[in-house]
Amino acid sequence: MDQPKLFSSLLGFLLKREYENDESLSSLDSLKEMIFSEVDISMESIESMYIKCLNFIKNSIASDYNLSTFESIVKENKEFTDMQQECLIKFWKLNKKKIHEIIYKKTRFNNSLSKMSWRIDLKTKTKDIEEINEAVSIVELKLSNSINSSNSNKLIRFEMDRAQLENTLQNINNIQKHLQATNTN
Amino acid sequence: MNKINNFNLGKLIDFQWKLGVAVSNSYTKELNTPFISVFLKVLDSNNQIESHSFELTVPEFQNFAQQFKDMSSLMESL
Repeated sequence: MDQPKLFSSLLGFLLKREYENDESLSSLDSLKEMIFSEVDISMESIESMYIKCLNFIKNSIASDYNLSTFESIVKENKEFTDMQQECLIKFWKLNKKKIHEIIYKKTRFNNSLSKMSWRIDLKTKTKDIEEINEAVSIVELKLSNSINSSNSNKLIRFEMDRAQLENTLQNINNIQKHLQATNTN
Repeated sequence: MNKINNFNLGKLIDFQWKLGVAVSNSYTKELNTPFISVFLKVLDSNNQIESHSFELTVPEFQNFAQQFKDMSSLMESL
């Protein structure tokens, strides 16, 4: 645990296992195999350091520490060596934003939009109409739900003519205006 | 107009939205994350109305918005 590379790898493992749901890392034994295979250290020491880091990160997430607060809290914590404190600060600097987003998505109970595809068609002729020149946009939205798997991978397909597309775009522009107003307030 | 849409894949009939802020959750008391909920009603090819909803983060919404803008400018050029 006195090599920055190994300690940072432990933090990287923690991020993947606890927050990025990497299922291949479900057992802590893989931590020893992957990171500490060439080091003489017991599984108990690895586990205890892992849990110490995990609790520290969990508390930092719970209070959503900004970098400077994180830095002062980590430096007050004498359970970590100077080198480990530096690694933790670097880890928080690099991953805070990503972890915050993951934490938000963990309680997104509604569906998320996993993919959006679209196509523009020009209708030129139908059985009943000899000549038309109607542009339509066809949209396919793929929804997923990581919490409620029965809702996962729902496909929505619809067409919009020019007027409908403009109307939807108007709604979207309104949302953007509100977002900008919220950001400037 | 109805004849033109005889073979539609589905028709968007309603688009509603809500802008909100997720304040806290079970992991953090300081979540403070804006989100956009979208609620769509689509008339499917069997003339049945289906409702769908999903939630977007701000970056996800910006991407969603950009695709509609791209569609719109292409439609205008036709």
